[in-house]
Amino acid sequence: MARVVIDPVTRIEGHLRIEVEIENNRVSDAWSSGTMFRGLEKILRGRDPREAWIWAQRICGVCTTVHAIASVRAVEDALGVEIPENATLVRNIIAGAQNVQDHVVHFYHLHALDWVDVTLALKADPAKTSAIAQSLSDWPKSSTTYFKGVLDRVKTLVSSGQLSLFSSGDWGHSAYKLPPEVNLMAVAHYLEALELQRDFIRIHAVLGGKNPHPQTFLVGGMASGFDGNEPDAAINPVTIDLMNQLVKQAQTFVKQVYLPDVIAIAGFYKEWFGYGQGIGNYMAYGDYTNGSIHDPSGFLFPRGYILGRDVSKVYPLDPKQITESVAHSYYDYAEGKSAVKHPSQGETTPNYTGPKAPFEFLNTDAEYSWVKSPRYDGKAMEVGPLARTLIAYASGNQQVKKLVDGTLATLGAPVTALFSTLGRVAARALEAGIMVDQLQPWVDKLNDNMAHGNVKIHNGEKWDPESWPKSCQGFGLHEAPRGALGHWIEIENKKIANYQAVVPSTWNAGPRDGQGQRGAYEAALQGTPIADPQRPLEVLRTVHSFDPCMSCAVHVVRADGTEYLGSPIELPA
Amino acid sequence: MSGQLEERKNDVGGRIGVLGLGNLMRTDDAAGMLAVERLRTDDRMPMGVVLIDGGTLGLDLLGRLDGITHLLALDAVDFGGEPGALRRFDGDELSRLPTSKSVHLLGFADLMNVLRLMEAPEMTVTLMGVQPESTDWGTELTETVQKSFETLLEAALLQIARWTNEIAAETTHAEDALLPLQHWPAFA
Repeated sequence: MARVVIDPVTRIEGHLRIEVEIENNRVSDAWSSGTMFRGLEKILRGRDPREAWIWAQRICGVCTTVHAIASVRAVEDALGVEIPENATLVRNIIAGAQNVQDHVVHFYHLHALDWVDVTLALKADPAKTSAIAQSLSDWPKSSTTYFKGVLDRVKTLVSSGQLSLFSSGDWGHSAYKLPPEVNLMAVAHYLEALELQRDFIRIHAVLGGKNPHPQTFLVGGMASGFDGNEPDAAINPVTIDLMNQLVKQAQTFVKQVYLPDVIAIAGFYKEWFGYGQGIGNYMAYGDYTNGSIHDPSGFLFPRGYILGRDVSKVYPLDPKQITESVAHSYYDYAEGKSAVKHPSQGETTPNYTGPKAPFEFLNTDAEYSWVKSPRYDGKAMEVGPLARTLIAYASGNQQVKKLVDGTLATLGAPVTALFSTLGRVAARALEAGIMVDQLQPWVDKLNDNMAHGNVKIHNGEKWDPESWPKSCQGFGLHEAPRGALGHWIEIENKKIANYQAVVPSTWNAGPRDGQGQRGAYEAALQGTPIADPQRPLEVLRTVHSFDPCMSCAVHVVRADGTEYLGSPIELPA
Repeated sequence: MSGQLEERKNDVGGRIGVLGLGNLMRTDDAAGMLAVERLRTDDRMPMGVVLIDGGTLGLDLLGRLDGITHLLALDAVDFGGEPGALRRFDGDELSRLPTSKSVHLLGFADLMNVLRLMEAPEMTVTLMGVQPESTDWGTELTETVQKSFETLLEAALLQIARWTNEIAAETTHAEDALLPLQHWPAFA
């Protein structure tokens, strides 16, 4: 039995460490450890609740906006503020664009290199690549000349001795199965996706003033200027046109490139529909409505949860049933380590009890993570696009059912195939397809309201703290790209008395709870085959399928502490 | 959408970009960011130079480089020199910079490689770097790097002046547009 450590899994923020035990070339057990204390809850205490979103948004720079949305919703819930329809639409467009952007970036720039061997792409025949690409969709950039150009540019980069953003793949690993031509197509689309994401996110700059971290949120609505006759307004006929164009571009890309690529690549890795099953319980708060956020019946992504992979039943979700355990986390609770607490009563008292650096392994029998263990009704849950898709599917959403069934039929896979590493990847792509189609009606509605002189975008009734009760509590829920996100707030004498954020990666990356129940990553890694313990590419596939908060590459540190940055590369003759 | 810029002689029309890189909370790593902040209020700056707070953003900066033909990046660079030493990197030297090993996002060298892979239009790129003494937590430069900071700014301004002249020389009314070079400090 060997223990292998991957730390950090994330390169940009260094949040995640994974330890796995390997027996007979399979993962026999796994531990997920958040290696950084967030502490934002402590920063927020004593501040004006109306500015909480500005701070909370900085929890993460990758999925920007999501904490701002959850935060303003929490304060609005506490104060009893309903926001105007236009504010709902603008928030939907911002969040929906974030969802599409995040999914595209995740697939191409964070995850694809777990499946695509860039060095094999160098051996591809551009004419064959062109034939494959043209058989998949009508995407115009599919000619032999085009792929030849990409091939030449990648060759130039590689021969300069610099793999740059491709420097950290496990090139030549036996777990890569794609033929050279499909590798080349994926590398070309990797670059095209960079262009797409660069342009598409301008929607945030239009509506939010900047990206990342839009600046136009307000408790009670939005601060985006909304005036059809004002050339400097954030929303006017010119910017509506721009948003229409950007949405159209993204629709084309998602339908003609992203979805076909996922299906094509999945076809070569069908065994991964059998790995990474995980907990089997899925939960979504649900989100996206033109109506009130307090009426889940109108949600595009329905609210609910599924137990034991049984898609015949969706249980109604009651946010009161959420608790957090710190049994294996570096925190204390006033009531002791075995207590569990609802986030509204949450407590953030750090107490690091882990080993002193440098160390080899975590003491996983005791505390081993800065992430708490959230549970619903005492049960571990997986959140994210797969959870949302399954819950929509099981709720009888016809659009989702048609899409999912059609995709599975193409791949010749049963619905149970979704409970897997590749299931997460596929669900994310399908969701991007649904979301990108939803953006247009929201932009149209905004345009329509503007044409009819309905430009109210902020409800200022409760802006003045004098109008607030002496004390109140609230919570804001949002379906972020990575899953169910909740903020809980307690306001006392016009100030924040307590604040707790339970983020998607808390649900997915959390450690074992007091009952020994594994978190979602830990459960999903059980049974993963490992061809080479020195290069645990397969572990990365499953961890990345959850879209943890991580950047464009990973580097792996072996348990003996030597840095592992990929294999040497050779140009084909 | 944007307000109309007053047409001025030395307006480079957004073709010159100055990109400040680094983390404001990591002492000397902030040098590039602080330099851009200073340049923003320097009245020797020609019109139409795009000043970019790059921070620790990586590929998110792609969208900010549209239309830029001359890019000056300012950053703390560990090139093995004495703390506070300044060095510039042009052309091929840039492709030999260390990549992807920083605690940041994708580094500057990666950004340049991505632009090349994406077949972006040719861009003249210069990186001016200062060897950091410390990149520990802290919101102020170390004394050592602070001493080189003014020189870095003057060097940056001179480079901008040269590019401004180059760009002006390409325009039809070249003599009208030329900025008198004696206006600029010598490159220390």
